[in-house]
Amino acid sequence: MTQIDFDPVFSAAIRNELDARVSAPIATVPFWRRHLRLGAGIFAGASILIGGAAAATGLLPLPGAEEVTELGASVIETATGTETVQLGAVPDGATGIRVSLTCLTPGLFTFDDGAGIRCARDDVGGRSGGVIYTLDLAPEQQSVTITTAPESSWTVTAAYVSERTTEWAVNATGETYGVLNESGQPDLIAVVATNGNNGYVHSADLARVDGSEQAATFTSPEQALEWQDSMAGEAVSVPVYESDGETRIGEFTVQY
Amino acid sequence: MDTDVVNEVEVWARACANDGRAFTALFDTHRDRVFRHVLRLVDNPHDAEEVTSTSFLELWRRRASVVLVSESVLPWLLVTAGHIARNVSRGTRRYRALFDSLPRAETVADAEQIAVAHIEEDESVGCLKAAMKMLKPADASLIVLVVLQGYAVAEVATLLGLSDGAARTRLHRAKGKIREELAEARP
Repeated sequence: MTQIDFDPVFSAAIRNELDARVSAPIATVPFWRRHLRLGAGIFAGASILIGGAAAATGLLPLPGAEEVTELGASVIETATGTETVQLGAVPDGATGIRVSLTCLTPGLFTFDDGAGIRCARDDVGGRSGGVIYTLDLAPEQQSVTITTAPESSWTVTAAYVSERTTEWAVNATGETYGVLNESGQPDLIAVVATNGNNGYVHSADLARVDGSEQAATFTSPEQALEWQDSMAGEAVSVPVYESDGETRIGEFTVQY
Repeated sequence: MDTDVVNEVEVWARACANDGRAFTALFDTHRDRVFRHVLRLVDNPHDAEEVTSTSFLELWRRRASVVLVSESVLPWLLVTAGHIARNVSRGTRRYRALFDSLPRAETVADAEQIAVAHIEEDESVGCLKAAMKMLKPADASLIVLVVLQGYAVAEVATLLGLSDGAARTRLHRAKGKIREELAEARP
């Protein structure tokens, strides 16, 4: 019988698409958008949840923050298609490469470790059209390769960094306090209150209002989106305390 | 059914844990089997490619509810592709924009090749194709999996949400219907 074969070009494109959809969740549009939506909610209402990156600027030397030190100058490169950015000799003490990637066209852009970002037409030029990511430094690694389709363009700013996560502090009542980091969350989480005061919220208070309690019960992304939609426009507040966890100094608002 | 199916449970588990390479391995393994199956159900290779691709995209989207049969995702893919093929434009609508944006080989899917394939097919499976279209979706799936692909009725019943007994009865009836169809079609 005459054999009809699957179009190899179409097949390769589908294969890439499947790979992108399945691989590291940060590589997919839906997750990225959901993440942003939730992020945008949390940051609204002049309440700021302080994360490692904000604290890393040196302005807020908070316990538990990641100390990121840039080692040497940044390399900036713009390219179309898959390209490797050379960074030169690895400075002493480097633990990673911080890469800031901006999509100049739609496409899927993947880092050496498989993480990546997918930019749709609407993302290009907007704040969802880029990502800052720290790659762990592999032995002998002196470059960053961005893998993408031949027609996709991007700009990258990359630099060696050394990262160190500081310890949380402990207050008189034995509660840990500081910023969220990869070890999880302290008992008191650093925030900026609506009145501008720097302080802390109890992690249990925050979990009740920021959706993480509900999120634990979700079994599908659809459920999460449904919940987000049902909360749209709502604002929920929790008290902000000094690091003693008792002296109240303001309010933290989660705006959905 | 064959040896590379042995580890598929593991591959599937890795794919569900966001391992893109594991998922594309499933695509590489089963693409042609699904494509050949769909070619029997739709009118042209272009549709068959889109139905096949849709079934893999759905495999990922609906991963939480996928049932493995004989430790393989192939039966699920065949059944899903069969459903999609019943109404190609509706079945592939979710991925229309994606498919239209993807590149295809320049060669205009050789009309001659398709014509030849259709002529050859007319004798062998043309009648069967028509008979299959008369069946309810679940019955068509039973025929495909049990008669054409050789899976056991009990395994397939779980996938189709039927009891073992119901699956046997329906299969028996479906076989009878096809036999009648083919008998009538014969000159």
